[in-house]
Amino acid sequence: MEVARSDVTRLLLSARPGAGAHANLDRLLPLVYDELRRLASRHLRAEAAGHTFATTDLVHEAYARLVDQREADWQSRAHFMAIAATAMRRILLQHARDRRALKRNGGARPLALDDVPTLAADEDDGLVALDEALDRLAALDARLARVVECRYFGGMTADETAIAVGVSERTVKRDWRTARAWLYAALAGEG
Amino acid sequence: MDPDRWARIRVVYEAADEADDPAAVLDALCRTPGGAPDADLRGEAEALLRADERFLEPSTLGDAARRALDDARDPAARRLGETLGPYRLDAVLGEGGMGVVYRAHDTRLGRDVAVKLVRSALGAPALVRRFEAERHMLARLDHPDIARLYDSGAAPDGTPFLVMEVVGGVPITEWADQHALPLRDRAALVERVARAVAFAQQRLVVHRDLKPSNVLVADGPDGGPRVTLLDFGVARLLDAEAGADVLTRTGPAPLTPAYAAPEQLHGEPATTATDVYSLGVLLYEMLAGRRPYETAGRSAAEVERLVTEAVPALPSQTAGRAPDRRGLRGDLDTICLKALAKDPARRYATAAEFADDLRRYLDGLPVAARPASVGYRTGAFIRRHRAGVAAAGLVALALVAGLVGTAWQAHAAAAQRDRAEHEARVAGRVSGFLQDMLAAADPDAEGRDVRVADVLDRAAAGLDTSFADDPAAASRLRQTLGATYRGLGLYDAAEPLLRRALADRRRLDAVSAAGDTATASVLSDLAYVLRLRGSLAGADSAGREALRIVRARYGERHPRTATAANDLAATARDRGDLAAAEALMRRALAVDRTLLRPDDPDLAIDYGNLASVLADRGEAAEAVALFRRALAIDRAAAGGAPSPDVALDLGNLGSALTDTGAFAEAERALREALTLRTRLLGPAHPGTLYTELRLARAVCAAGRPAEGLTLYDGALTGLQEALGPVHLRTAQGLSGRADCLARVGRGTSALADYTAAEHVWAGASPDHPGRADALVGQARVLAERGRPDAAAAALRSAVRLRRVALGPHDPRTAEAEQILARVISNG
Repeated sequence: MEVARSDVTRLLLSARPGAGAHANLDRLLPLVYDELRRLASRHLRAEAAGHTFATTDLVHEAYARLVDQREADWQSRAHFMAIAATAMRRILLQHARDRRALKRNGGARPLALDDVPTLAADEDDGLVALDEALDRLAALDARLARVVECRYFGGMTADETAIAVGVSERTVKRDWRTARAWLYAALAGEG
Repeated sequence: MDPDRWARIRVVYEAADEADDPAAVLDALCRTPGGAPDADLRGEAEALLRADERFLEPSTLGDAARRALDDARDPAARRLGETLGPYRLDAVLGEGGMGVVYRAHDTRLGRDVAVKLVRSALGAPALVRRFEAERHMLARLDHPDIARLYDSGAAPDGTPFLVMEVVGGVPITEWADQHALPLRDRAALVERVARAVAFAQQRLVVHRDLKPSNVLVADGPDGGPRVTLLDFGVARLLDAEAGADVLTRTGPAPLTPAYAAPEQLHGEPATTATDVYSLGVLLYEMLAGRRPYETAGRSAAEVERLVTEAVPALPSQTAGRAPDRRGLRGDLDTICLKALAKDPARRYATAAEFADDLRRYLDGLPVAARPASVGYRTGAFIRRHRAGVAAAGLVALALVAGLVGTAWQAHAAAAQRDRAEHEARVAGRVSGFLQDMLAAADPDAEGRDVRVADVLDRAAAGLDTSFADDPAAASRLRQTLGATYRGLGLYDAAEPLLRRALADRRRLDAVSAAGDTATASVLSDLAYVLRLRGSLAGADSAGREALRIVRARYGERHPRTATAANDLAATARDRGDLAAAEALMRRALAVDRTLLRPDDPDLAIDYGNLASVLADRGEAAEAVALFRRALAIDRAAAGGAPSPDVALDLGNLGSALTDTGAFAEAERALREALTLRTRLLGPAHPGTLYTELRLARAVCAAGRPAEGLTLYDGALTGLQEALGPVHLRTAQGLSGRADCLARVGRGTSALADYTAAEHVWAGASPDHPGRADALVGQARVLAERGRPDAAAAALRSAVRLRRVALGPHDPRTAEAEQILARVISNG
């Protein structure tokens, strides 16, 4: 289904912090998710590992396609990207889980390889572990996990993340450093 | 782990992470509430500190790609409603390779304009200064069919922009289709476009990006077409090659492949014949309803191959309608293909020739173009090194020769025979190269500086390849070009050329010491440019080295030694070391008086320079006398012709007369100086603006502050655009304006100007005497406003500065001390 640009733009503009924001954010996420999946399958089937580049690219393309830029401003762009970061995390995770399942079950489960950027096999495990660690971090400190989602999965810059999360850029940088240290220690601790 | 525990770990980790000595922080913070060491806490924090810094870091490739994408998708609309200077951006008119065009309102002049924000590979400040210099050239393109370029500047984020006339209309091809224009009228319309292009070419401006979207046509009041050519010279402005860093090509010029000539696709300089090619594509499209080559959907390499190799079909073969095919056969086919020749030499040389041939066809006369043979039409374009006809006019030759003077004359008398021969060979190559560059395109074309800048840019760009084997000639040429840029006020273009010339000379000197005086000459020129740019330390060291070399070679009593001393004195003066400057200049004058005839213009230079220092030291009466002598010599030498030396003397004399209180005579001298400089240098040249500042001061001093302030505002705005905000000349003007503002009771504005001026001077030298002037001015305003403490502090600094610069017995030191005493006793 082709999503009407004006719908996404309207949802995005009303998804700014304020009245009714959450409801609109929830409606926006699936739209962005679908568009990202569509773009991923169209463009990146041959893309090898290194999805940071691919995801960033995809998020920006999705933004260009979904949002009427005459109406959107810098803030709504940051919010869009934060939503896209969440969507991208889900897409990548789904893909990694599918591939792991495929390996374990000897190919029993059908997999649409065209759907998402192809990750190297060992990255699948790393990604699933990272995702799980990120959930644990979110339980300790939700903002740290959110910053990682924006920076890593959305490929957002520190200043974009600052707008999306609602803190200063300096805080984002500090959070990002601390969160990475925590995740590194958590993953290293698991051996 | 629970959130509270994590919060505690986080505090410790972040403190240690940001500390210079993490271990010490851990020792201090990892304690139990009772004060005992907390090993668990420390272990957790240390685990975090060991984390790999690169973990999860987005790759730099991703960031670079991000930025590129951001740039490409930068929503133009984001700027709507912004104001750039007086321009309020109201609507997006269009978007193209060069950037976004907005409809804007000029709130100052109350008219609508088009503002083009430019994407460029050049650094924005360099581009903006470039625009400033070139705008005067484009402003001269006053033709009813050419859109005017009004202004240029930079947005707060540094993006350069151009301000142009707003024009209505649709692309010429669309207009022709909408009006179902018959073949003849289409040809006539293209002729009209070509005439406008020819008008510009006669002023040595080539368009370089002619295409239907740059040729707008609307219905005129008389029912006929109203034609407007857009973006004249804009492609040139944006060419990285023509930018401040003339020797480094940083990016391709903007062009439109479907309309670009083969030589453009090869990255060669555009000439008048390049525009002829684009006019040929336009004519073809207007006549046949399609372009000679189908470029849509092809890669750049395919387009380049098509344009440089493929043979276009005759328009009569491709035209859609049968009657058109018949009408095209013959002359129009021939004219099209001549304009579209791969080799520029086989095209019409200029847009005027192309227009003339179209006119002959329209008038039923035989056309000049001959049907091409198959062999010629299929011949692939051969890359050639051409001077091109866009080079320059005779006026340019005269100007360059005049400016550079004897720069490349062989000093045969003072040299060994083989050295003389070497010099003669170098001189021959150098003047040959310059003559090639300056080969006259249009002796009738008027104008001065702007076209020289054109020639210089191309010459400088050509040097790397043409003279790679001959560093002596290359160095001489770079020096010559650098000196000429300097003469044009394009100091930032001059400096890199002179630095390269110096590097060439130093390499030559390493092989043979014989050329050291040539090195001294380059050093002098470099010192001069550095001084003009306000890089005084660099100017001083280059000037000292030059003086040392010539003194060692020629001895003290030699005109070259005197000249070098003079140059160094000028730098000393700018640095505020007036005593050193006066000593150097008196020495130079004494030497030259014994060597030169009393009416020698070099003597006028000595008189003028010494007088300038004396004026700075407060010796206005002696300065006036010496300036008068200099003026008399220079007037006699000029014999009534407009002379830059006379302008300089008049300006100096006018300033000194202002100091002595002879305001009426001062104003007369300064107005004559301003007229001369405007004529010789153009209105935006720093030298002209500096004269305007002096006039402003005289007018204020004569008791007409409103008129004076207007002059100050205009000159200072121009100077800041030309030289940047922190320049000694600007500081002098700011301080002068502040004096005037203070006199009319506008204390707040005066204080701001004084402060800005003082900062500039302090940056040049902490002991600069100008600083003291600004501080005294500041103090007067502060005292009047009932702030004696602040006034006294400023005066104490001023007294200290004047004691250093002028000595304890100078009347101005005493003046500052007296004011200080008064402020303290009243406060």
